[in-house]
Amino acid sequence: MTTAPRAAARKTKKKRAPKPAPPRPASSIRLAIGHLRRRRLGLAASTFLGVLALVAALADVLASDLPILCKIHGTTYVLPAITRPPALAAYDNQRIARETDGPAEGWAVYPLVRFGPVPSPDRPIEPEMEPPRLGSGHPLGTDAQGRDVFARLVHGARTSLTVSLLAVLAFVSVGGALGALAGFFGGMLDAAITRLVETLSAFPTIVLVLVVQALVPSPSLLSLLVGIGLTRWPEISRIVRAEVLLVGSAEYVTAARALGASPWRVLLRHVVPNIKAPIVVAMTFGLAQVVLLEASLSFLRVGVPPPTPSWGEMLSEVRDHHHAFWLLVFPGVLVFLSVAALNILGEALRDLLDPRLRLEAGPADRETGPEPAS
Amino acid sequence: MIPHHAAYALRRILWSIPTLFGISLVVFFLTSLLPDPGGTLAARATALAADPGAYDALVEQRRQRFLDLPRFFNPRPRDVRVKAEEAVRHLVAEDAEAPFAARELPRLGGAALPYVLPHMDDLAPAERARVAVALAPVAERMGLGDPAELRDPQRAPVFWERFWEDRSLDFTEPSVRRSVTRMARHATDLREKDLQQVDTYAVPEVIREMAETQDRAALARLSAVVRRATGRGMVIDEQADARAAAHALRDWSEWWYVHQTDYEALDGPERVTATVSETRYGKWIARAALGEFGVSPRDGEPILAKIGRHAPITFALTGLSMLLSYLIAIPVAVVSAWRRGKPVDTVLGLVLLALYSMPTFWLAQLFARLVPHDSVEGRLVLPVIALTLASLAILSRYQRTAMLEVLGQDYVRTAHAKGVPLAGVIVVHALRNAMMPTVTLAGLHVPTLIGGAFVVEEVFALPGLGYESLRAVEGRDAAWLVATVLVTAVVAMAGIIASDVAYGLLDPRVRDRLGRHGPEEVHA
Repeated sequence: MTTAPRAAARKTKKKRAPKPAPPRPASSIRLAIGHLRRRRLGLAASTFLGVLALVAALADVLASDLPILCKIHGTTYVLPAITRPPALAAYDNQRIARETDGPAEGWAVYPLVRFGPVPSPDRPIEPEMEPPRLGSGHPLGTDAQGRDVFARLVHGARTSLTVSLLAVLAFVSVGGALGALAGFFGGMLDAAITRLVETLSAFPTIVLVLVVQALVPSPSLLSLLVGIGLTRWPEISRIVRAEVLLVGSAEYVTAARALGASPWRVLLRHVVPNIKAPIVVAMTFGLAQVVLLEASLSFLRVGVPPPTPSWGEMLSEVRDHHHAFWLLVFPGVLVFLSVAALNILGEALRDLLDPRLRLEAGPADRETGPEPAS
Repeated sequence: MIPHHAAYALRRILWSIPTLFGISLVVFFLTSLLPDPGGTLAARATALAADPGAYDALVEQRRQRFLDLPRFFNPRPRDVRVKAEEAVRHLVAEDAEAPFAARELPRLGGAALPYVLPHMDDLAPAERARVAVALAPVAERMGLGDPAELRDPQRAPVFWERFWEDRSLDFTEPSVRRSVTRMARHATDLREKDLQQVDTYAVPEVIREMAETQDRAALARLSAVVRRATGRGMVIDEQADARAAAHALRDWSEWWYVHQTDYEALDGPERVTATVSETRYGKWIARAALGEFGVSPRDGEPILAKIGRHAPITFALTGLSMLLSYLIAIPVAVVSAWRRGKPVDTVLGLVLLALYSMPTFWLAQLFARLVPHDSVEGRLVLPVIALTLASLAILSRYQRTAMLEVLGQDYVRTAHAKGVPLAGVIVVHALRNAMMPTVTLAGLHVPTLIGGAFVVEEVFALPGLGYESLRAVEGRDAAWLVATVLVTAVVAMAGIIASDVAYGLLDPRVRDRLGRHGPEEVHA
């Protein structure tokens, strides 16, 4: 899915995957193996991310404190977990099950796991055992506050993906715009933006977000996004600026100028379309970083404000409950797999989308490697 | 003539000045995220109506944070004269701010009198009475008049009129200066009374004298004078030890930094500089530049001393981890570049990708669980390893690319052809040239490493900047957080600049790119 047959000719600057060794001409068998392996990895990564996105989208169907569909007291509710009808305010799956079995007429279609990420307010934690624990109807156990781990993982995927996507969109648009302006117009504007980039890249992201979240009157998703965006856009801006500088000296840009196109037209119609590929690649790597970052921040409890479920926040509970290995393993593996998948996808995309990177390989590659197919 | 590369280094360092300014602006912006408790008139009115003492504390708190000042430019700096005249105006107009003015005027005290009393005759009798009654606490502090008289709208104006006729000559700078100097030299009841009767008018002189005098007894007398006039602060005990005295003196000088314009009139050139210095940013940066970040509200310890205590742990952690990263990353990169495409390269690549994708705190927690880390070495070794693993991959990949590039160069082939042993080719001819860009990159990793250190410290409960910052978040200690973010950003910036300078010094191609518009993004 992510690689073309010409993958063999691909040369990237920071590639991890094997390339044909320079002195010997590459054997077609080795090329094919390398190709397949990379293709398999890329495929696996994108499949995993697709499933994760699906899980995040369908979180309410997979785990919720209310049924997917139910009829109780003569009324039918569709996805009450999302619509939150006031009539069901005091209900959860367990109560609905009791009542539909017993006194009240009705039926219900339950989600895969009958617990939500946040316990219903009127359902106290069962007192017989101190949470966190495994079993007792919770497939992956509960966390320190008696909340279902599976539900929090599933809804945490939603949090993680939403936060990361929003943050990346925000800083890519800001960084991209500023970087393009700096690279294209140069001069004072470039100097000013370059200073700004240097200023903001000096702030360690975690430190800055920590301080922002601590100082704002009420930490929120927005302040988290602003904090992340503030320190992350310089990187994108740097990449875009370098790309614009490169593209800006291309002949077709000179031709467009010579034909009398206005600078803005040249920038928007001739330069920007030609730097989309590196931006997409940078976005993918950016997503990987932000997923990690969000987890770290939530782990430090300065990420998304509670009780929003988050993988990092689950991991932070292990510190007080050393026996609860499931709180360490499941969210940790999910963070790891998501980040790894995004990184693999980023590399695959870079190979696929950016023909220039293939041409830009070191002299070693240029001498003995086969010429790019197109 | 300045050598070419020295000029480069100098230029690069000079270009860090706007960056430093930018960093200070960002941190200043962070400080303004803190909510302003008495930002609105209504909030202050409610506070005053509920409890005058709480109102005073609120106003004082705002003053400490310079919230009354404009952010960046103060076209009309308010000194004691403007403040006094404003207060009188509010009292005369009896507007919404009159209750505040009635508290402000006594606070300004004697220092405001030269700007209030001479103009009393211009006011209508009722207005004059209001101003005179508002001044009652000042006379009480001076030990003059009797309370009933001072609070009587009929008699108070007469009292103040007579007061000014008798004593206006005391309210001149030379006269106060003389009294203060004498007081510092030798105290008599009379001299003390003289100073008491000009109230806060003597504060500027006394503070100046306190900063200069070495005599502990004089300090004790002078601090008693300011304390009486302002109703706050510490009296320096004659028998107190040096540390307590220094502490009190520091407290007074900090107080003076905030309150100078409450007691002193600005004139001429001072007025011009005050348009910049009497601003929220100006006041904040002037202190921050001297490392003065105030005291921690958690334990009253000066923030700077506290940072000095915790920062070494963080910087040791990042420094050691950087060293270890290089020690591991470079051999790994050499092997995988040399065996490019072989299983070794593939496996190393996958392992590095895995490490790169692994959350640092997760690794750290695994470590913390698997290995006991009670001993001092254990407390530093495991965190360093945890922090290293994450940064390994980036360095190693970068080094591998550089290595591949160099391995394809003609001189490497020449060395091969001449029959230099393989190890010799790799280490002497290739690595030496390929290492330069990676090593000079070290500074660029400082921000990332510091961020990682914050997480690792929290997992291992290492009392570094990160661990302490999280305690500061819990304790709502804004002063600490602001200072930390400033310190880490400045350190990280120094790292970035050092990287650029080193890279430029070693590589003439980079050096020549530093054109008219300042440094390009060298490492882009």
